[in-house]
Amino acid sequence: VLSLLLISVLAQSPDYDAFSDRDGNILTERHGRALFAMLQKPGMVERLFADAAKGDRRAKRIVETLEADYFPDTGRELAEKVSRPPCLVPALRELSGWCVPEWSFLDFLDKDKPGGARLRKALFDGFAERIRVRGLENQIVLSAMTALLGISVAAMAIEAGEATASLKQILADAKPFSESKPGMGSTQFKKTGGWDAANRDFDVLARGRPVKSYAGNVRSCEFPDGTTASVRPMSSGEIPTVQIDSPKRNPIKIRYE
Amino acid sequence: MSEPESNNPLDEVVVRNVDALVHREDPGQFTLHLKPEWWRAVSIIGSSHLSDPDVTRFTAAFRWLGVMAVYAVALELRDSIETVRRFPATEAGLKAFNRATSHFNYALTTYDCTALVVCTTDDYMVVCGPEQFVRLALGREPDEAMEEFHQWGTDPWWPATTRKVFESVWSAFVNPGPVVVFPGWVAKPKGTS
Repeated sequence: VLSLLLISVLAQSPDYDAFSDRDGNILTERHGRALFAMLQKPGMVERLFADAAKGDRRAKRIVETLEADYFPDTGRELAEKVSRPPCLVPALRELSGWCVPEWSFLDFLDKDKPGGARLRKALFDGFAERIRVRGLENQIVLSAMTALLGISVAAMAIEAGEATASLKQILADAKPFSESKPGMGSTQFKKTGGWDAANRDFDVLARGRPVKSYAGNVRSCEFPDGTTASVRPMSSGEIPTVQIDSPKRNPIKIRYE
Repeated sequence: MSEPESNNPLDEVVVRNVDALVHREDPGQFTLHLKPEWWRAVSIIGSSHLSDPDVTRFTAAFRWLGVMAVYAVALELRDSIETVRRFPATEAGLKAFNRATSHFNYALTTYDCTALVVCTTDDYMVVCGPEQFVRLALGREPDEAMEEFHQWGTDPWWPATTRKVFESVWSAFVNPGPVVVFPGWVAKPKGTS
């Protein structure tokens, strides 16, 4: 029984020799074909990622190649295909049979498992990058995102996009007076209108999100991407302030004089 | 952001210790008791609260004190934000402290308050503790850090009222006595004017 179990476990391991050299480089067409045949076998993608996470040098190199090259390149190719001139004409686009991306060829990548989700994301990133370079509508990107990554991820991205749009809106008439180096201090803006304007801008920023209210008229809210925002009636010299902290950039403070 | 909680007796001791060292006299003012008297206290630029380089240096400073955990103690709004929270004394722990407290006035300290950092929502922090802790946290001579804070805080691009605040903070820590009073705006608790 033990040897049967061992054979079964070994049978589930990717045959790295079939699709890479000893360092994990995918060098030949034969390697390429064997790699994609392996990825389509149930459980193999996750096994490959698990080997890489355990520190297997070959697996790490292959995962790196898939995430950095193969899947983003495939996404870019697809973006090229769906952004050719006939695809930009609404009726032709739907009738063409090839302008609307068909994602079912990725069904072997389980969007609810870490390896599958990462490769889908890598493909999506390549696709979205090329679509945006071509200046095409966000709708194409969003429908691809929903199909590739799932509705919840797409919804989060839309909400994060809305937060950015709201921030742009409230900063449109703000005067920057101090931009700090990345990771050093806050980036400061001035606006007029005092406490009322600070509250109005916070409401724009927090639109549709749950807001926590505290004593002293302090309010705060959170966004799905980890950004947090607050408004305070008094800060640094009794000046009403809206503060936005993002995991991706320096804190922003808007002072309302 | 933080939620109210905490029933750990040690947490209560930490809060009491912090309250004995730093408290709010009125909404625009902090009072800090420099105990023991050989503590050093330096005001520096804040980044809501710690910048990435601050996180690295502060981790080294807390490591020098030999602590495994740091404590965040709220200096305001104790009826609606978490009064005390523990974080590992690591870079990840200090980044988590930042995420949890960046919109509020908090003290960052150790279980025995050997060192204490007043993290304000007013763009500055006050680092207090043994000389070596302060040097490690600042990554330079305390006098140099004070000078940098002074230059930054008196830059003409700040609104006049803000410049005045930073000037007052700087003055308070140039030659501090055993009790230091300095500006800081904390939200008023419910039921007070």
